[in-house]
Amino acid sequence: MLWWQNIPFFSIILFLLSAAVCSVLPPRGARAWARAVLGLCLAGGALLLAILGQPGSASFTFMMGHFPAPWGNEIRAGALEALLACLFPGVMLCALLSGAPALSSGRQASREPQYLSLCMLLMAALLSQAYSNDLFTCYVFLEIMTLSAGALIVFQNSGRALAAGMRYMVLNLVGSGLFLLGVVLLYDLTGHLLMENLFVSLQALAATGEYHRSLTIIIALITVGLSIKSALFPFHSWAPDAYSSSVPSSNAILSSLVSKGYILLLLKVYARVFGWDLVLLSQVDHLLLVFAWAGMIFGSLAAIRTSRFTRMIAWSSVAQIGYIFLGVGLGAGGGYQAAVFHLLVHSCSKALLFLSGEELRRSAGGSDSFADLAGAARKHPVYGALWTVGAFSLVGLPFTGGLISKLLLGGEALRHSPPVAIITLAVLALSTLLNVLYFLRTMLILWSPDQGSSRRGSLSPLGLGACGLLAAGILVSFFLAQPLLEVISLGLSQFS
Amino acid sequence: MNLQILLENRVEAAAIILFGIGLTTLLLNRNLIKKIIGFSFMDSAIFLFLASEGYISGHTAPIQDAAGSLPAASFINPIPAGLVLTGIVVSVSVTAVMLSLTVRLYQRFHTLNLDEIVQLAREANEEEEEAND
Repeated sequence: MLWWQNIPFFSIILFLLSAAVCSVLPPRGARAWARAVLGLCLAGGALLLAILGQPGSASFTFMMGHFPAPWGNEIRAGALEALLACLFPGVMLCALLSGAPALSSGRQASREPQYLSLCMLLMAALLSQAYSNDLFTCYVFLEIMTLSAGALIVFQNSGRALAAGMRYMVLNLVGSGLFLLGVVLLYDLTGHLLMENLFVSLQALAATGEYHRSLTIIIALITVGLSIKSALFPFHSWAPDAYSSSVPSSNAILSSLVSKGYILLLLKVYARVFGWDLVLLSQVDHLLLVFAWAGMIFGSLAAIRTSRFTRMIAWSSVAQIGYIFLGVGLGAGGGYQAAVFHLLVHSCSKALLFLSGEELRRSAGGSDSFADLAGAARKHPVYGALWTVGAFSLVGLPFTGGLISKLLLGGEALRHSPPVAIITLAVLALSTLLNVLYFLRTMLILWSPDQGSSRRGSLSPLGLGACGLLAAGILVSFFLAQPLLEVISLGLSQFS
Repeated sequence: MNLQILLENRVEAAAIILFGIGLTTLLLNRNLIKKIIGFSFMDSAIFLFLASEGYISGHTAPIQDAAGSLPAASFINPIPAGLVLTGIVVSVSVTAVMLSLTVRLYQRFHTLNLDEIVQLAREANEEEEEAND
């Protein structure tokens, strides 16, 4: 075994250890530790990407403990996992750097180590979703992710955050229960939990034509369970409150990372456990497409209706999750590729909107109302410009990664039957129009001539750098779209 | 014929019915404590299902004697038991977090009804924002 093949396992273990270490360190020490670990794992992910992202490279499996497959547990890494191992710590680091002032001030300052400890747990769970080859391990880390994300929502301890946290927990536990039932039924049918073994058994089972109804139920259970957890329309009712009730770093982490972990798991289960043909046979893809279309429209309409700035960004997440699920619903090959690409772009864009938006809110005295935010971008032109880049990306304007996602989704839709292609293109057009409406309105308000006091907040260089990095990620995903798509394509081909 | 299948799989059928009861309680009941009980039902139903899958009639617990003389074929399947143990740990942790959240919510809003809590939280938030304005 080559030395770099230890990186995935040690990244997860390091985050788990850091969760314990951060909770006992003083705030400053915990902050430095968390940043160092995130930086180290980001470097590890970049190294993996440099090795596994080479054309023609193969994925590898890492045996856990002393029992080989099919009895033991396994980790697996390929080009796509390496890419996500760069994205997850990168976005988390940016969220923590930019959100640090809000964490280290006020009532919650003394609890910052506990907050960082939760973030480390969340990272361990996210990386496990990316690397794990075993469905039951995925379930365990799914619950760790649910618990740590729930704790991040209620961290502020306000009544609104507590209520949002409880609603989040209740609906997410429903999702976890459905997912677990699906996994247990799969184990019952095949006797396996490792993805490769499951795939082989399920293909053999599908070939016999038996258990068709059971397989459909299992695919539906897992799909609905993970859709609830990733806030796909119509299971989104918990999301707007959960994404807008907590400290800014939590909002950014929840909307740009946690939901992506669940979507990634669904994609892995489709690609590596069932295979797309089996999903097509179950017709669950139709369900996904309908939910995605509806989510893209209703999420945007709700974003237009709201009069609160942070809530508008939160509602826009519901629409954007619809875009990612549209890619998944369009299927293996181009659809998955578009879904993963939009997952990357949306992670950077949404984190940027929440983090730079918080700086704009602070310059408006902390108000969340559009009326008070008039001229906020003029007080902080740099943050205003960064927020604008994030908004442009979600609208899908040129020079941002959002345009590439929409082109990929549109292009893939054309390869489907005429009704699917026509509805997808119409929904894409309408949703883009609605995106333009609410982001344009917000931008006009933010950049309107300043009517209030010309109070300028202090600029934190670290926070600014973090937001700058996220904006750079959005621009890079446009200019380097081709190599990025090749890596995603290579990673997806390694799935089968 | 159908009844015979049901009787043969009675434990699995009971587990799925219990899962349904737990799921509907968790989703539809407004009382937070009852929601948590529903969640426990749901998870226990899955553990029951797993345990019944791993059990082989007439076989013993997978514990080898000192001489290592018992054949592997005399044991029940140990993997579902391992999964149930892991699942119980997860379930207990989630229940603990949910109960602690419930305590905090009750201290703040003096009710266990989630709909009322959400309504009260919304009103409190609006009042706070009006005060800020």
